[in-house]
Amino acid sequence: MTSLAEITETIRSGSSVSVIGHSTRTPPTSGLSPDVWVTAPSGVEDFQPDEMTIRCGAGTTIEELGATLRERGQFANLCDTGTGTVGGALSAGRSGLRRLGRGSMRDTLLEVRFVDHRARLLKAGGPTVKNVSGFDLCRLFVGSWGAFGVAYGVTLRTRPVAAVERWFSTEVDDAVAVSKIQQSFFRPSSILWNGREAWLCLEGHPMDVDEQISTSRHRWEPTLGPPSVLGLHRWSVRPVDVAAIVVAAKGSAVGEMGVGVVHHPDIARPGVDQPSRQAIVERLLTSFNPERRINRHIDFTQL
Amino acid sequence: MINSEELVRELATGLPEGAVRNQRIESLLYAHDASDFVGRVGAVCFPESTEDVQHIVKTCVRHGVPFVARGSGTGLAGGATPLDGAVVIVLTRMNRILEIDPVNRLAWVEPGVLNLDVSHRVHDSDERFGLHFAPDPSSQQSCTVGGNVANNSGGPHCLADGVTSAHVLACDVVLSDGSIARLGSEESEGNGLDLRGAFVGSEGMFGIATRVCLRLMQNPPAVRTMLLDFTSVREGADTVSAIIAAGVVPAALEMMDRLCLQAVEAYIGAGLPIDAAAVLLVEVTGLRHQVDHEADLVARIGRDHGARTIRVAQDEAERALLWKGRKTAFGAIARIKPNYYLHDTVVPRRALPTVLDQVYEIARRHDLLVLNVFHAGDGNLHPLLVFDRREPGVLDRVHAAGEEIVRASVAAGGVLSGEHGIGLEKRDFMPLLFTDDDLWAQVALRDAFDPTGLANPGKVVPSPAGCGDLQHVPQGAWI
Repeated sequence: MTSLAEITETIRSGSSVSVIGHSTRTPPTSGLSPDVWVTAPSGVEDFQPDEMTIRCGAGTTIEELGATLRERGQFANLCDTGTGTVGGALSAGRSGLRRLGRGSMRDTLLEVRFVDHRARLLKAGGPTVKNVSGFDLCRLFVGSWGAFGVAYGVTLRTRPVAAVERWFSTEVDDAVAVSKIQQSFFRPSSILWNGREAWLCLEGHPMDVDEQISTSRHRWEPTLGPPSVLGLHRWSVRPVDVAAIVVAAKGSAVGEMGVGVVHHPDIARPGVDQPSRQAIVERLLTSFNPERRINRHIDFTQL
Repeated sequence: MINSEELVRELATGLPEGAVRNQRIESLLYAHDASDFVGRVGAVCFPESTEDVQHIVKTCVRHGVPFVARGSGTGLAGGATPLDGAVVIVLTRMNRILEIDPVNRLAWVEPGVLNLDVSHRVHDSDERFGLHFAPDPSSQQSCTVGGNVANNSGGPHCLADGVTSAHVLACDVVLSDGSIARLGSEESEGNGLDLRGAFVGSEGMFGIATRVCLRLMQNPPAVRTMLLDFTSVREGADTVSAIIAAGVVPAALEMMDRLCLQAVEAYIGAGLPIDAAAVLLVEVTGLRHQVDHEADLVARIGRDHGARTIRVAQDEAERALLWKGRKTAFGAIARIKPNYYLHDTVVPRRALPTVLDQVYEIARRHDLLVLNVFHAGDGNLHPLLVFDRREPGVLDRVHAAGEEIVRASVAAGGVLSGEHGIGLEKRDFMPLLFTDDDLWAQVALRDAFDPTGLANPGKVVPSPAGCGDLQHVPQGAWI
């Protein structure tokens, strides 16, 4: 672990600096190497169960965060994104397969503390769940792959763990039937479909889960969890288009219904960005990372 | 030097007839929002389309004139107050609900659509549960979606489901160069930076949203609304923390203190316990077994913390009456004094008892009455300082007390605003929370969206340039 003082000193010296966590995620890479690799501070600094917030180093592992929160019956909405570090999960900014019910990871980051390209210690956001004090720079950090600086500490919103979480599956090959499933369950955590089989995740009171399943028109069988989407490429599409893409993939793709993500065997076609949006991104990078010294191993043109 | 005649003539060219006004009545009407800050209007425009907004923005930039977008003007922090002869762009004519997708639970709307109209329109869109737009500020009958986006508005029912940012998937935005950018997408974690997230809550300083994609929520099949009353405010506040610590996040968790209860009871006659020091209005929603379980838990925690009575709404009519009491509290206060100043800060929940004690003490020292009606579950305080503006010197005391409340909230580990925004009201308090370096980052963010600096300048971030030709509301005005 690199100390905060070492990180600031390295940046102040003019070296290019990149942050490395556990390398469990795949960023868009530039092919360049930094002068210095650093790791972010780790460890839980402050957990307030009755505030439903936790403050920790960005290098804290997802496992450590999850274990700390579980002791008090809570979780953060990034705990199901696999292994690695909190900073890594936020950098990638991709929620897990239960986004339909749990919402986006982007709502989880309340405050970020970071070192900028001039080695200054900056803060964005605040420690409370509700906060509209100033512009929301935190939202930009999630999914930015470290474009704005070296995040060393974060405050996250936590939530109570549901009494039960259960996965079910059923055979269904009709897109219309899947759309009826979407409307027949109350706030399901996940509905996945591969064109032949649907998976459903319900969280909450066990009797509510049982009641929802028993009154469904479909015969749902308990299953251990969602299908694996490892090795598939993530397509971001309009939610209304998911079913058609899944049908066309003939069983090889898994769609997150109601969300707008398809896990597909083919690489997603790059979208066409608007020049006006690109100009905003370019100006942001010019201000926050003018020489691209911070995380230069990332290809920021894909932001 | 602004040539206002030429500006008005150019604005009018290409806009619908009567869409540009610069008569005295409009200049007075649109010189302020619902705060007590009064600015100066250059002209008032009523666009009906994105193209109209583009035309107005391009014209303003060509003339070097600032512009301020607004909806119904219900903002309480001066965010929509025009400074230095800004052109006011009133978006209330852009009030169409464009598209509803009930299966994927989203809707595209124009910014002038009223908040509550969205929920009314989509209520029956989902055959089984019905749908709604979750943010429900107290002004939801009159505030617009565009205003909600600008302020990242909240409301009582945002405790469990989050504030506006969690319910906006995308915005089509007219930037200060007149171009259009789509920020976000119907898939809420689309590729690239979350510019949508930065835009929501930017108080009109990043551009003007002309189409907004909203996330809709299923209506809960079961609802339990409870009123718990306490003989001390501290007991009520401690109950709030205990409920959350027990793993219950109610849909809403509101507090009203005695003076507020008395005003509301006199106004609506809901049978509220007017001898209580405070009540908690708690609503748990969801599927029936979960609701039963959480309602039992809330009642048990309440009793453990000294709740005298626990009233459970027996039907929808009683539930509506209890909520009417909460949502009309601001109007009811007119029975006590003709004017009020509503504050908005957030403190950690565990600090609620201490900060509430400080609020009462601050009001007492300044010889003011204070009522508290607020989103206790979020720690989002709303102290209402009630006064009679005709009393000499009272406004000075109100502002002094308000500043002390803000400072006490921040000192307790809180923040400046939970839902009203910074605007003009709290702009100069920003250094209480942020260093100069932190504020540099916020300015850099703003500049990236609006390099011209003409989109609603002078708000949110303190600047050495001061606050333009701004005045407080004249004597006798209602705020």
